[in-house]
This record gives sequence, structure tokens and C-alpha cells, in this order.
Amino acid sequence: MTHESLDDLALAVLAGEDMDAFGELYERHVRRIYNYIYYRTGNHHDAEDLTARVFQRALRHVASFEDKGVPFTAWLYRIAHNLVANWHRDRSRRPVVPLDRNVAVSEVGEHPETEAIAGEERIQLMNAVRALPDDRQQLLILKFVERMSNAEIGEVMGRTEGAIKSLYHRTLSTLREEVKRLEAGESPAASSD
Amino acid sequence: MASSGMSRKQIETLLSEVLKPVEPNSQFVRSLKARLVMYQGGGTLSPWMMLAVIGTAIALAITSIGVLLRMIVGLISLFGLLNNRRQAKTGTRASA
Repeated sequence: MTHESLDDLALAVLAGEDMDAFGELYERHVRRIYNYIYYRTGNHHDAEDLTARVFQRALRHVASFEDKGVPFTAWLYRIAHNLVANWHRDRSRRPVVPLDRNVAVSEVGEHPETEAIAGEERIQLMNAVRALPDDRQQLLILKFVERMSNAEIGEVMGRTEGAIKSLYHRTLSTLREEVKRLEAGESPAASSD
Repeated sequence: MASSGMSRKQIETLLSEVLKPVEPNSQFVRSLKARLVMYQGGGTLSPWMMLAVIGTAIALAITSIGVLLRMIVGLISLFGLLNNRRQAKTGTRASA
């Protein structure tokens, strides 16, 4: 049986001793882990560095991975989440790192004025997203970048589908208020959960 | 600004425009995989692998000792041959 036909959990069981199995898991998840870290750090350099550390740590501990009904992806996201948290702690400040400008203003219209307004809106929105607590940022990344359903996000974040739905609505409300505040020229509010 | 009092729908639309998947550098993806393979290779060897490594090392040592001995024997023979010729020449001159 080829590794491609196996699901993540079966591969994770093999991966402790079979590098090909780990390689298959790597190929399946490297992009999503990279995306998650990229949107949490705001730059490609740190995203590459932390993605490498996530998979090195995963390789070291995959032999002790146990199937507890949680998807393998959730395990990887948890490693990524911890490393990103350490990364932020190392910088000992809330990271309001400007996201690579080409991402924030990638979709522009035909008219320069409209483009400028749209670009500024996006940048303000990204700043508001970055001011959110970790779990809300994670939720938005999983929902919009990874296009996961509430149930899938719940599995990754260890919460119920209902809790995710509720958190999502609260997050949108907070963002709305935050964008309004930023437009009024006020500094970002301290994030609370 | 035009967006003051943005609705939830507008926020969601903007989020879907801003939060888009990015593609990591393909060279980074490949080189990380290669590094991970090396990283795993750096760990302790399995018993079978260890046996194979030791066996190969012994076989190589035996082979190289055999080659070395053959070379030494060959050189000694060559010296002996040259010496015999020299002695044979000196003997012919003396008898003449």
C-alpha cells in the first residue's frame, strides 16, 4: 500500500520509524502550517524559520503521537501555536508587525482613489486583526485562509462547534468596533477575551 | 472614510480579500524536507543498520589488508628478482 492512500493518523503511526510516511505528512501539511505562521508573524522570513521548527519538533515527537480522536492537523497546529507564542514572547511586545504590503493590498480596482481607500481599509483591518487575542486570530486564519468549517476549527482548537460559532460572531463585532476606532485615529484597544 | 460603520458582511468580505493563502517558496519546501531527512538520519541507528555498518567496515578492512599484503609481497619479489639478476651479472664477470 502506498503512503498516499493512507490517512493522516495511519501515517502518523508509521512516521516514527518510516521517514517516507513522515515525508507524506509533511507534504500534506507544510503549506497550511506555513500560512498559519505567516499570518501570525506577518513576514516570510520568520514564517520559514518557525515552519522548519514546527516540523523538526513534530519529527522528534511523532513516535509518541497517540490517536485520541484529535486530527493530526490539530497536533501540528498546537506545535505551531506554541512556537508562535514563544516567538511573540521573545519579542516581549504585542506584535503589530506590518503585514507584507503586497498581501494586504493585493486586490485593487481600476481607479487610483478607490484603490488607495481599499488598500487603507485592508491595512487597517489587518492591524485590527493583529490586535486580537491569539485564539481569535487563529480562528480567522483557519476560517478564511484554510477555509475550514466551524466543526473542523473546533477540532483543531479543542472547542465545540457552537463555541467556535459564538467566538466568530464576537470576533466580527470586535473587529467592527476596532476598525471604527482606527478610522477615528485612535490607537488599537487592548485586546480582551 | 467610506467604510465607517462597516457591516459584518463587509468585514467578512474584506477579511476574505485580505486573508488569502500564500504559497511558500518552493525551494524552502524542498530544502526543509531534505533537512528533515538528514535530521532523522542524525539520530541513533537501528540495530540492523548498525550491524550492516559494522559488517561493511570489517569487510573493507579485510579487503584493504589483503591488497596491502599483496603489494608488499609483490615489492619483495621484485626486489628479489632484481637482486638475483645483479648477482648473476657479477658472477658471470668474476668467472670471465
